Amino acid sequence: MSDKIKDQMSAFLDGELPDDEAELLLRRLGTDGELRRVAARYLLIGQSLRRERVPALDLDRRIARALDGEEAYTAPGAAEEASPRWLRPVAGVAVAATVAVIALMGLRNTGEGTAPEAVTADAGVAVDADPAEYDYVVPADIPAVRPVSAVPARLTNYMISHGERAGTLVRSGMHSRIVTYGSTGGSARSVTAEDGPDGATKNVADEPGR
Amino acid sequence: MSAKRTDAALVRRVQQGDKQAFNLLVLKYQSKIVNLVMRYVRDPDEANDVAQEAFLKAYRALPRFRGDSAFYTWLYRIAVNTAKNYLVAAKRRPVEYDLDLQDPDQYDMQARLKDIDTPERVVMKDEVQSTIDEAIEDLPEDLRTAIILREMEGMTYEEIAETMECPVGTVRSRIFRAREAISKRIEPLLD
Repeated sequence: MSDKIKDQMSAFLDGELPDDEAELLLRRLGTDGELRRVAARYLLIGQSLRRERVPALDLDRRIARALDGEEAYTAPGAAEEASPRWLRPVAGVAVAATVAVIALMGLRNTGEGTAPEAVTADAGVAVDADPAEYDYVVPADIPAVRPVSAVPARLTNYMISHGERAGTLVRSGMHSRIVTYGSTGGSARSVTAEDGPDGATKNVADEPGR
Repeated sequence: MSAKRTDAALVRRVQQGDKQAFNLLVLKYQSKIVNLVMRYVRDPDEANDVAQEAFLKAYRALPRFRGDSAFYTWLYRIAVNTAKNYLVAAKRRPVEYDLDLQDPDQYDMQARLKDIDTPERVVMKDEVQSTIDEAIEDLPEDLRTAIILREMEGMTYEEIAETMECPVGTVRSRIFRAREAISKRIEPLLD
């Protein structure tokens, strides 16, 4: 890794990196395990200089493991970011054309002149939100579209994480606990949404006003 | 101010689906959150569980976080409420502290904590700590001053530049080189 990238990370952690550079750096952070380790070491140096206590029991690793079970957010901004700006009008036309073709195919398959039937949940069409929000009428015999699942993404993340660790971690040191999602043993417990104080015993709002 | 900027960028990334960005927030605040929780939940294992729960609640609530308050203030409130709820569930009375949620440093200053580490981990931490201390001592004066003003005094690059009478770009370079020099010394201990 170049010193330039590490210099950017150093400045970013201090809040001194220009926004455009920070954006690029954070994109890289998502895929670059070495950069994450660099960031973790820089944070550790600061905490050590300030004599902060580093938590025990691999807290960050436990949290990361628990987060594996959580869906990643897909904010509108993320979707826009995924495709270049110049491509968006083209993509819009492509979607419209696809819908038109599907509609035509549906008309042919259901017989000309007959009205298409409304799709029900049994028709196999993926619905990822409250069906009440949809008011579309499309042919019932469209080949089933498989719902997009978060599992492959999670599996990919896990495999990347595992690959990073498997080759480098021989002993379980403090830093390895800090910068990685370990599977190197220990008594770490994965916490799910059902764990922890909740329900009737809860008398204090967990989430503060924003 | 600068910490808020870094946090805001990380929060935005998390809200766009980047979990690794949240991991960096965890690394940044885990020690402060555990220290905070231990004022309510004295058992170290329980404190870690509560801290973990607080981070998970924060992650789940992040889509609704608009940045009206600083991230750390918001996170600390979640941690305090999670700790209080934990004690209520365990039918134990919360211990109230007069804390200023706007100042996370107060948590460390007021901490009176039990040691929550295994002997092996204490040795490891001591080794890392002493290596960092030695590395700091070995730094050239200009690098040492720059990183101490940044990490211990919390100065911005501009403030450090004024103090050291040099350009901001030089400050950035000195802090980076100091971190790299120390990082190289501790890296073998952490592999």
